[in-house]
Amino acid sequence: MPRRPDTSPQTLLLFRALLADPSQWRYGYDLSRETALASGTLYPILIRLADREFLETRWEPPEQPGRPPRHVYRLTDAGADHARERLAAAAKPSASSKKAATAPTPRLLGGAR
Amino acid sequence: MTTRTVARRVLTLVVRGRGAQGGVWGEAVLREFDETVTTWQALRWAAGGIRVAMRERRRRAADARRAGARWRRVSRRIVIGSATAAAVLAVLNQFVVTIAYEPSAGMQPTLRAGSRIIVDRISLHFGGLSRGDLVQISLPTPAGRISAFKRVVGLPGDQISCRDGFLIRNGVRVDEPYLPAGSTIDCRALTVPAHEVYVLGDNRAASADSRIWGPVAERDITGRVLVFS
Repeated sequence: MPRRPDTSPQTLLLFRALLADPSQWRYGYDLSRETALASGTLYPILIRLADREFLETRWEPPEQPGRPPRHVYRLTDAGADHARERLAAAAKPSASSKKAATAPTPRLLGGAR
Repeated sequence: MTTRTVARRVLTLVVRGRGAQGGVWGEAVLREFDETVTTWQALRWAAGGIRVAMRERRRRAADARRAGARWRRVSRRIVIGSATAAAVLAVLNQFVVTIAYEPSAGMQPTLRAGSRIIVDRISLHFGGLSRGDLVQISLPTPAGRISAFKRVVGLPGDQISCRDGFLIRNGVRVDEPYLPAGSTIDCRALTVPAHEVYVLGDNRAASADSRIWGPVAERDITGRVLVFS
């Protein structure tokens, strides 16, 4: 049986970082520092999420002129739902994944359990 | 040159190659490089960035190959399609036909007045005309061109004359089984010039033809009778 996508510890770390403030656009470097993921791990995950439209990307105009624009990220609504669902499923390892998928509870986040 | 500068250079080279700008994700990693503080962070960032850029490049190359393959398939289909169409048209051209009708009694009894006739307009341009062919002529007259059906009895170079009511071609009496019984002919002797043909109607008593008009230009022959009713 194929592994469920987006259940690796690295991906879950990233979900947690992105869900901290889902409306906030995030820099790649800051996400890397926050999750302690190397660029070679972090960016492939970002690419996969962006390909499936779980992640929005845009080029942010530089704060100071002369500096290149930076690429920034945030979860789409679907991406946020998906991330919460995956985190919830991971937090409840005994529960079947089916049950977790039918009852994604945002409140489970942030240590509410 | 510091280790940091080298790392930056290498990452830039891998992301951009010789171009001014690399792929989206390679550029994204590269633009974050200056956020690193320590040499170790810079090296780690560059190393991961190189992996990302190479992956992206491979992916773009694969996409381009797929797009190229699709274009090749499409263009091959176009080429095959046009070649087939050309071949079909070439075959059709051999048999390009029009429908006409005989307005007069000049070709009776072979063609009655009102006969519907399928005319092959093409083959005579390739195979030329033969003696005995039924042809459609577009005859120039002062009142414009008129269409008529006649039989080719003399080709360029043929000597045509009439004797004792019979048609004589190159000194030989022409056997004309298609004529109505008791048919006779009288004509002026001549040699058919190049690029002209001598035509007669089968109904010799009622036909206007080369006896009146003289030989007809080959270019005024517009088709050969294929089928008639």
